[in-house]
Order: sequence, then structure tokens, then C-alpha cells
Amino acid sequence: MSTPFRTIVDTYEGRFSDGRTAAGLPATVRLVSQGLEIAPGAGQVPFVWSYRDLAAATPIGRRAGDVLLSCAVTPGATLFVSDQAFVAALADKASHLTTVSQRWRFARPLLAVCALFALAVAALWVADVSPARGLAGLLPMELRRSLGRQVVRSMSQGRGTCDTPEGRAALGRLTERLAVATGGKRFDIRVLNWSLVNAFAAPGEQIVLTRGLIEQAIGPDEVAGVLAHEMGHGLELHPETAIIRVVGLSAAVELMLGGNGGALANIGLVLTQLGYSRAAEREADAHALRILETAHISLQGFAGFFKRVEDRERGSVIGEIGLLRTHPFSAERARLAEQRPAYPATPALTDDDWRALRGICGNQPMHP
Amino acid sequence: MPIGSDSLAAAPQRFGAEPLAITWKQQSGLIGLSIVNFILRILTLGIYHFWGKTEVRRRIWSAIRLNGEPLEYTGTGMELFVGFLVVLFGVFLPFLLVGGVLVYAYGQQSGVVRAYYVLAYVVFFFLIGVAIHRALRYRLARTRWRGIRGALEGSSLRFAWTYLWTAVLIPFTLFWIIPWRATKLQGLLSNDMRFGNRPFRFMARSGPLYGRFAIAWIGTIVLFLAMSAGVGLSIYLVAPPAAVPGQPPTVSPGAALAIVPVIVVFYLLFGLIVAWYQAGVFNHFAAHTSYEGATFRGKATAWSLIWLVISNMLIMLVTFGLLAPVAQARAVRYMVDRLGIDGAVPVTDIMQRAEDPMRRGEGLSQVFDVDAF
Repeated sequence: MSTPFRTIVDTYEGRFSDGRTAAGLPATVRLVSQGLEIAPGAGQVPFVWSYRDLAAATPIGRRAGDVLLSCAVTPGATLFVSDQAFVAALADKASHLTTVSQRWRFARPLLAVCALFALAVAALWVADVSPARGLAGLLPMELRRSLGRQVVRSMSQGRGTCDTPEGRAALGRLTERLAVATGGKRFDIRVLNWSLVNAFAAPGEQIVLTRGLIEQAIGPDEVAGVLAHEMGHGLELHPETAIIRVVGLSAAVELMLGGNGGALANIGLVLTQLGYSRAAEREADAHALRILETAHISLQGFAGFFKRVEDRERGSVIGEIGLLRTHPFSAERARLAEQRPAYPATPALTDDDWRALRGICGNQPMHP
Repeated sequence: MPIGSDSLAAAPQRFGAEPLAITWKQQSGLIGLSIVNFILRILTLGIYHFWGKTEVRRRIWSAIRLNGEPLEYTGTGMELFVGFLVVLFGVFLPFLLVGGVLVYAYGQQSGVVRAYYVLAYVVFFFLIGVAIHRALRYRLARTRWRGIRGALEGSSLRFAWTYLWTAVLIPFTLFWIIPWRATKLQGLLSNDMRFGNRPFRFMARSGPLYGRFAIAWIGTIVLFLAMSAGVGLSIYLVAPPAAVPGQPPTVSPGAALAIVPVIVVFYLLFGLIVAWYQAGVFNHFAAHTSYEGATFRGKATAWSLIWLVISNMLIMLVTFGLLAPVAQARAVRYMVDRLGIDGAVPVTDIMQRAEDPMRRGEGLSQVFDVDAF
């Protein structure tokens, strides 16, 4: 049997409410070893709230002038003590009520979760796993085609499409020839009346060539090389992946800020601005080399075109969306092509077809 | 006379009616808390926001004293977080997804997409009404004094509907619906407010607000005309536009700078007009609100209100929002300082009420950012 009197530290005045009505009673409070001994009103039987079960309305600091306490055992009941000495004494007995320990109780699990999250992201990065890429693989073909049409439409806005029947037929034969190495994937290729020298892969196995590129190319092998490279992007779902990244970030932000989906409509522009990562370019190049080899087209055009454009544009002002900005590393590409063993090759197109392809825009004036 | 904490022990042990006084007891450490919250929020990629917010609320609630005894905030960060997630994944992202699919299926300029955006704006406005009601309901359910909970009854959908259709009428009535609307909405909220098992009563009519509103309305128009004239005049005085025949007059950079003070003065005066009107609304609403035997008395003034708004704006701007908790505490303190309570309430008759089953906190109001603190 313990004798309570021996463990009494001090006596404080407080105010007790039983949580059943809004009335408050003056109460005498003592800090005993098992807990807070509370005697509400005169002549009432005291009871004890154990320190362990106590909760404070706000975390208590040593300099706090008062404290509002409740007890898990008697929900609703509260005890208010306005006495700095009491708060300091309580902080010693029930340290879980202090500011620091309260805050860490919530912050620690959160920090742990976020550290895990950061580790997971880092691991994905190291393992070269991209969630956007995984998602791109899950998109049904119909949706990818529809996405691609949207992108091509936004790119061709204000510019004409080049499609003389002879040019289309020639382009069709070139595509047919390259298709032997694309695993049965039929690429849909469109030429835009655009002076820019560039080519873009759009989702759903669609490719955009510019008139500028066809006119800058010395022969059909160069166009075939660029096409094969873009097909490589398409086979690896790079455009789809880029769009998922962009949609996931910018469109969500814009819509959340009250925009009206402008980001969604401008994805075509985004694709023209966004270069792919070095790794993605290498993947596309690997496909390009394989496609060209299977189709028996010389690699000289593939390497030469990028090299020539680089030489020509070096020193001059590179256009805002110039080829080099979106297709860097031409020196590395040339080296890659040179290292491959030679194989028998024929020109990508006959002279007649090459002429037809160069004339695919008919007599439309060049669009800037 | 406010009863300070010193008089606690001496408070009469009386059963039955107890006079009420509301006071503010400044809490120390709010600046330190703001900084700690900021750091933890960064370290946890923003998730700590909800726990930090809860911590701030516990301090602010605790600073409000009725007869020297603090209000208690019993909400948790997890409730706010779950509420946010539910609205984000249940309302917001589905909306985005459907919008995205429609844009791809029909094109940005199609009638279907336009109709969807119109519908979305209407639905969002309706949801803002729901958000206001649910946020108040959550806060009252998580507020206790002497262990007794508050509550908000009534339907948030009914409130949101009134919120929506009265808002639609604002432009058509040339803003004259505003006092009536504010009174209507406040009535819907205040009459559904409970402390324990007893209701608050709100009996205000909007009529008395119209005198003040008319002056504010005319004042704003006069002010706008004066600003237009002032801008024109200052451009002319600083650098008269060169009148080249056949070409539109051009404004020099010097003149563009000269209109800045004119616009600043306009905004200050406009703010003062709004503050003067809002102070009147606050006092009018307070005077017609009662709880059991107690009535309220508003003591807001235009000058004090505009000072509060400007100083809080400066605090937010200068610290890039870091000290938002300080600004929030100041706003609550303003209301407490400017609110008087007359009369006594029968505290022994005010019984605890059943707990509100609401388990998620304020998701909508957090997504729509309508919560003040």
C-alpha cells in the first residue's frame, strides 16, 4: 500500500469540466507518482488521471503559462490549469506532451515515408526504369493513333501538307522498303510544307518530315536514314513517353491553375521543342542502323546527313527548333556508322522516285 | 469586463447562468513554429503541410479564451490529409482525365469540349459552396470548450445551391444583390451552428446594410471615374502624347510610370471603401446573432480592418508566405478583439452533443483554397 502523502509534490488550482455540460468547477490538482490527482469542487472524491493517458490541447513548452488537459479514459472531460510552475512540473512527469516530442511523433513517420520515396525514385533512376515509359506501353493503339493525329494536326497548323500523287507513291515505296525491319509496324509519314530542316516522330507510328529536310538531303539514302531514326523513336514509344511526362506535369498544373487545356493542345509544339535524352537517341540510332541494314540501304546517308547539317550550321545561328537542337551527337553517330561492317547496298529510291519525292510539294510556295 | 486568467481560481462556483467574455491570449512561439513547419514541409515533399496546419490551428484556437478558458482544436493532420486525397482522386483528377479524353476525342475547339468547360465552371462554383459549408462543419465539430463540441447542421448541398444561384445574379443586379446574398448565406450558416445541444440564432435582415452599400457602390463608381481622369491627366502632364496626324498617340515610359501612384491611391481608397462596408456587415451580423441568453456586439471599424488587411498582406509578401500562421493568428485576433458578448448563458443546461460522424477534413476547401486558416 502506498501512502499518497509521501509522493505529493505540490498543489495547484485549476478548473475541471466533466464534458457532459458546459459548466466548469474549481478543482485542486496534485502531481502524484501515478498521475494527476484531481479533486473537483469542495468535498468531492479525488480521482487520478494517469500521466500516460494525458493529452494536451497544444503541445506544452516550459514557458507556457497554462495547459488544457484531457484524459483518454474519460473522453470529453477537461482540466485547465493556468500556472507556469504546474506546466513545468508536468513537462517533467509527462514528457510526451512537450512540443518537441509531439512534433516528432507526426513528422518522423512522414520523413521516413518520404525518404523511402526518394530512395525509390533514385533506384528507378539508377535502374533506368521510367514509369512514363511503362504507361506508354499500356496505351491502346487506337488512343496512340488519335494522340498522334492530334500532334500532327497541331504541327501542320498554318502549313500545307505536301502530297502530289507521284511524291506519295515514292514515299510509300521507301516506307515499304524500310518496313521489312519494323516488325510489321506500318509507319504513316506526312511531309509538311515547312522550310525548317527537321523530322519528328509522333505517337501511333506517325512521322512528320519537313520540306526543308527533303530539299537539303543530297540523296534518297539521307532521307531514308532520317526516317529510320525517327522510326526507331516510334518503335521505342519515345513520343508517347514524352507526352505522358508533359501531360502528367504541365497540363495538370495548368488545369489546376484554372487554365483551359492549352498545354494539351500545344503538345505538338512541345514535341518540336523537346529533345530526347541521350539514351533515347542511342536507342533510336540502334534501330536505325538495324532497319537500314535489313533494307540494304547504305549507312553513309544516315551518318552523312546529320554531319553535313552540323557543319553547315556550325558558326551560324542555329534555328529555334533546328535539327541540331533536337538531334545532337552527329559525330558520335557518324563514328557508329563507320564501325559497322560493310554490306551490299542499293540506293533507297530509284532516280525517278527520288525526283518525285523532291517534288512532293508540287508548286506550293515554301512556308517559312 | 474581460475575465483574465488570474481570476480563474476566483471564478464563482455557480450553477446556472454564467456571463461570458471573449479574450485573446497571445501564444508565444508562432514564428518558430512557422519556420519549423516550413522546413518539415520541404523535407516531406509537402505532405507535412496538413500536420503543420493542424499544429497552427491548435495554437490559434488555444489563444481564444472564453472566461479565461481556451478553445480546443481536436482535428488531426491525418484527417486533413485523407480529405485532401479523397477530393484530389475522387473529384479533381477524374475531371482532368475526362477533360483530357474529350480534348483528344473531339479536339480543343469542339462544341463538346466547350460545353464541358462551361459545365465544369458551374460544377466548380457549386463545389466551392459545398467546400465552405463542409470546412465550417469540420472546424466546428473539432472545436471544444470545456469539453463541449460545436457543430454545423443542415445540408451543404442546399447552402451550395444558394451560393451558386445568388452568385450568378451578381452581375445581372449590378452587384446590388451582394448585401442580401451575404445575409442569406450567413443566416444559412449561423442558424445551423450549435454549441453543445443549443443553437445559435441569426435574425439579421439585409435592409439596414443597403445604406452603407449604396454609398460604397456610388463611391466606387466615382472613384473609378476619378482614377480614369487621373491617369489621363498624369499622362498629359508628364508627357503630352505627340499628336502625329494619322497615327494613334503613343505613351512614353515616363508617363507610364506616372500613372503608378494614381493606381496605388485608387487601390488604397477602394480597399478603404470595401473595408468600411465590410466592417458594417461584421457589426450588423454580430448584433443580430445570439446564443441562448448571450448576444454579440461587433466593434469593427474601417481603419482597423484595412490596417489588418494591408499589414497581413505585407507579412505574407515580405516573408513569401513563410509567416502565414502569424497573419492567420492576427486575423482571428482581430475578430476576437472586435467581438463583445453581453448576457449570460446557462452553462449547466448546455449538454454535450453526439459526435459528428464526419471523419475526413475539408478536402474540397483545401483543393479550392477557400479556407482562411
